[in-house]
Amino acid sequence: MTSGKSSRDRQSRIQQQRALRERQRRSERRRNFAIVGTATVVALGLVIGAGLIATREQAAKDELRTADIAELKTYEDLSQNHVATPVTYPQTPPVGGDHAQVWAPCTGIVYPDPVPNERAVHSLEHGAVWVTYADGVTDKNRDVLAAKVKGKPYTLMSPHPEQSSPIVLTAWGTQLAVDEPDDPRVDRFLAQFPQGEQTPEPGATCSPPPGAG
Amino acid sequence: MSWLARVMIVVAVAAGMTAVGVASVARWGDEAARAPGSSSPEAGFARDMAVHHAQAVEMSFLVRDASDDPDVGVLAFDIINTQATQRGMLLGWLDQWDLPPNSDAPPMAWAGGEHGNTDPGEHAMPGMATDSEIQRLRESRGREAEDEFLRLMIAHHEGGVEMAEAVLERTRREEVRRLATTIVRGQQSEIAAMKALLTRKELVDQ
Repeated sequence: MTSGKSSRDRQSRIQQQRALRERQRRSERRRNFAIVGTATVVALGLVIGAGLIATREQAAKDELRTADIAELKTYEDLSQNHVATPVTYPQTPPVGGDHAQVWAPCTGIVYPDPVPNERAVHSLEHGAVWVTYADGVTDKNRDVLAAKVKGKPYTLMSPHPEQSSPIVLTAWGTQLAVDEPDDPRVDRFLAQFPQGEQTPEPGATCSPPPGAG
Repeated sequence: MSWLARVMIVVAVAAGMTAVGVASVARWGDEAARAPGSSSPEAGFARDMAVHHAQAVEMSFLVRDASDDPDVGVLAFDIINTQATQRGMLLGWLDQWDLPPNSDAPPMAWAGGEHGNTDPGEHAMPGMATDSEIQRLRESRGREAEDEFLRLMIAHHEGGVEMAEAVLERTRREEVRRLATTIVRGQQSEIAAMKALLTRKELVDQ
């Protein structure tokens, strides 16, 4: 009878098997931790990354709104009365002051003909940006400008033959003259001033007045 | 539990905790330090001016129904749009400040009570039309309605200016100061326009 030797063999085999299972379990546990750990890091990375991107985008948007625009002119102490007679304004085009009791609709309208100053100034009082162009501006440039204005709330565009600069952007008490429609200041003006803080009458409408004429 | 299930749970918990953390910082980091309280002048102004503006809108709709005078009509149209929108801004502030739009305090209590009226049946706020005045406007037509409207609205605007000046004396909050300042200037200019309209009509009579 070889019970002693075979029982030792069996014990040894059992031990080997246990050791093998133990190694397998340990290596499985290591693998599990590795998977869980990697997944956690990836998930956290995604959430944090999204948060950082969102914060940076907001900061960039805020910057676009408040950045100083080079050569922007501002005017103070403008009157705000309704008058029924034509007004002589110091600036061309005017930046504010007395105006007609009726405003020019400013829902992103590109007017083919000049708009009376007194009506446009009332639109400025309601928070609109008035984009005007001189006679010499090319059709192409005019179209590029029109594409920026068309349908944009609280803006209007019209020809203004009397002005000296090619392109002028005006908000109440605020004016910028540029040569080309792709001057980066054009987009910044259009981002900052429609319904902007310069608006004397926040909440006023750019929809057509009743019986619009 | 399978290892896959464990992975999913850990990932979900981690993402959830991070999201809650980020949201908390965003929501409470700045907000709590800034919102005014329910008895503040800012909250009182927002509540009272929202009611005041609502009456201007009501009167403007009434005169547009009663008359087709183009001058009065466009003025009323402008008042409707501007004051209804500003009423929205005021209610929006209260919402942002997590305050109810109503309060038990009497009108203008936030201004130290000196602007309020001791007789609650009459003008509760500066310039507000009484119920009988509104009824008279509702029942009139044509020229009579226009005159009634202009007189009531001039008084209404004068009251609005008084309320806006009262909050300007009592707040440093930027957004409140901005709106109150535009109300003072804008309504003063509309008062001048309305007085001119009344005068022109009287001249036509002569």
